[in-house]
Amino acid sequence: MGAGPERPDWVSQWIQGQRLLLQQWRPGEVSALSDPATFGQNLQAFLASGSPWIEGAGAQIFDLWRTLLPGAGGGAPGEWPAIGPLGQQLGELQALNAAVGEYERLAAEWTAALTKVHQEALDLLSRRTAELENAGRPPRSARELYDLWVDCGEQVYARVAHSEAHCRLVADLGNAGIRVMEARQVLIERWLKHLDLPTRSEVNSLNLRLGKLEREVERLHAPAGIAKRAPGKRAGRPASSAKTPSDARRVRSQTTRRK
Amino acid sequence: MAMQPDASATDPLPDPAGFGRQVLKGLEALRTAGEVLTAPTPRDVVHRQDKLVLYRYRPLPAAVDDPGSTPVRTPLLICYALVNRPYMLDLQEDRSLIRGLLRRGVDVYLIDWGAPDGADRFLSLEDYICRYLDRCVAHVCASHAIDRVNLLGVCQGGTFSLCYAALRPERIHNLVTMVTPVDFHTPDNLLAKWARGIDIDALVRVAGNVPGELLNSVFLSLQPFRQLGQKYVGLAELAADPVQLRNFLRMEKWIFDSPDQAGAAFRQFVTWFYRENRLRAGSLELGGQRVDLARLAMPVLNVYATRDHLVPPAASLALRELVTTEDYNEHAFDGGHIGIYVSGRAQRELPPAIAGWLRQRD
Repeated sequence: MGAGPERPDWVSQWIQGQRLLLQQWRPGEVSALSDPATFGQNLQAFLASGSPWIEGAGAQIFDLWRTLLPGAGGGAPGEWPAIGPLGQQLGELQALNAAVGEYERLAAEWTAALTKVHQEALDLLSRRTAELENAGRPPRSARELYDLWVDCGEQVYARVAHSEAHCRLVADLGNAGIRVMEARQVLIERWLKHLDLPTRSEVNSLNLRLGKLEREVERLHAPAGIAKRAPGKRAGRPASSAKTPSDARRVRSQTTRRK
Repeated sequence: MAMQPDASATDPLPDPAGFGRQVLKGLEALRTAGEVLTAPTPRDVVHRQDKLVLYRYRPLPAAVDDPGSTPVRTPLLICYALVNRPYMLDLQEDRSLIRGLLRRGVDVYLIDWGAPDGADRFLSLEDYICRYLDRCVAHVCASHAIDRVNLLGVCQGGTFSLCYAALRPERIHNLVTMVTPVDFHTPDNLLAKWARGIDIDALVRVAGNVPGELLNSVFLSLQPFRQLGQKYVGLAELAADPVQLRNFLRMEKWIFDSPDQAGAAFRQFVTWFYRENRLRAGSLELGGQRVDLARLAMPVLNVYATRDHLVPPAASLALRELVTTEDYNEHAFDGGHIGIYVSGRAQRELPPAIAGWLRQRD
């Protein structure tokens, strides 16, 4: 804080309260299912649990399984080879699992970035309120403080949002979400086919054929409109008094002033 | 984040109990507010094609501040964006650009693109601009036995209007663009920066039509503190005023009333405009023809908002260097992307400016 009267207690307390809230709020953790190391550890623990069934009738099978587990990783389902009669389905499930894991990882990164924005906004708010009370104009109401916090938040957010790193993160997160949708759609299509229900692929095919037919009919019946020209041909310029952009030209501007 | 009122003796905060009562009153007002109506200005359906509806507005008595204005003979066709519903232009009686134009003697038509469903996922920009928009222009011309219309494009609809006017300049008498992006690569365009890295082909392939909710969340995340928090904090105060509350609810209705976007057209728009900036570069082709803005020899009025965070002014002002008309005009509105339609100042300023400009060139 700078020289001048002390900051009102309630301002400092509000800012401190927000910092505590941020500390309590942790970014999402990656789910155990999609994290091979966690899965492997859980599996190892299960196999070593001394369950009578594991040590009895299933002993030989589980002994073989234990020796096949690759190291401490354990081998999550995502790493099993997708072969055999159900190999394709397993591969599709693995793709979905991998996509979900990647999405969760990026979502956690994005959440962490936003948390940092909140923290920096509070730092900026702290500096701003200090400047204001140095100038003899401290916030006089909770609403005034809140609005100031929003201004600080938007300022910090704009700087971060425009950065190349954040733009890349947003795009990566979006693309990861798209891959989850893609992987999910593959499974849904498979099940729809099993149930003999129309799939999206079939409907798309029909839609494309119908659209093509519709446009052809419209083209045959339409009056002169924008005719589709063969690629490579260009429409001639209409006869007009148009000049090149470099020619002198009046640009009339009307500007408004804030009253 | 919620406010945490403190009850210490030196606390300048208002009485927390009083604030609580205010919030409860606000909630009760919200609960009993009922349905809010929009688009109050009478209009008729004059043309339909697939999901598209073309409206013609009925004439209104002259404005008090412009009683002697002569009608503008050439009708005005308004081409709105795809990403929102067009009733923003006629939100309520005292917040209506359309009403303002009607009361100043303009004959107004409005294209409502409708809400795409799965059957529309393969509609392309060529469909929207070269078929739908062209057919609307043809309808208006035939209805009035004229060769050319006045065309007013809003935001993405303005981009469409520019493309159409470049392809069919002989059909356009005067062209007005409002908050219209032309250059999608200006440094302050956050949407463009985000769009560059997204695998739009995969998105459209898997989603088909792009959900309106997804676009909403993207727009809101441009200013998250204001749009997701501050706006609602203010609601406790204005909820006590039924008129202000209903105004707020109309805006809320419009903001979240976003149609899905036809997949193919969306993919093309993001790729060709946001990513490749083809319109600015002069490399855009539609219907086998190059879209050359140098063909815009008709009078042009370019209206932009000086504090527009969605279409930064520089994105609109790029039009200046691309058209060849000798009658190019700009109008700077001191406000934001939405305020240019719904603010009180916009109602006083823009209808007279646009109607007057059209009348001078009628």
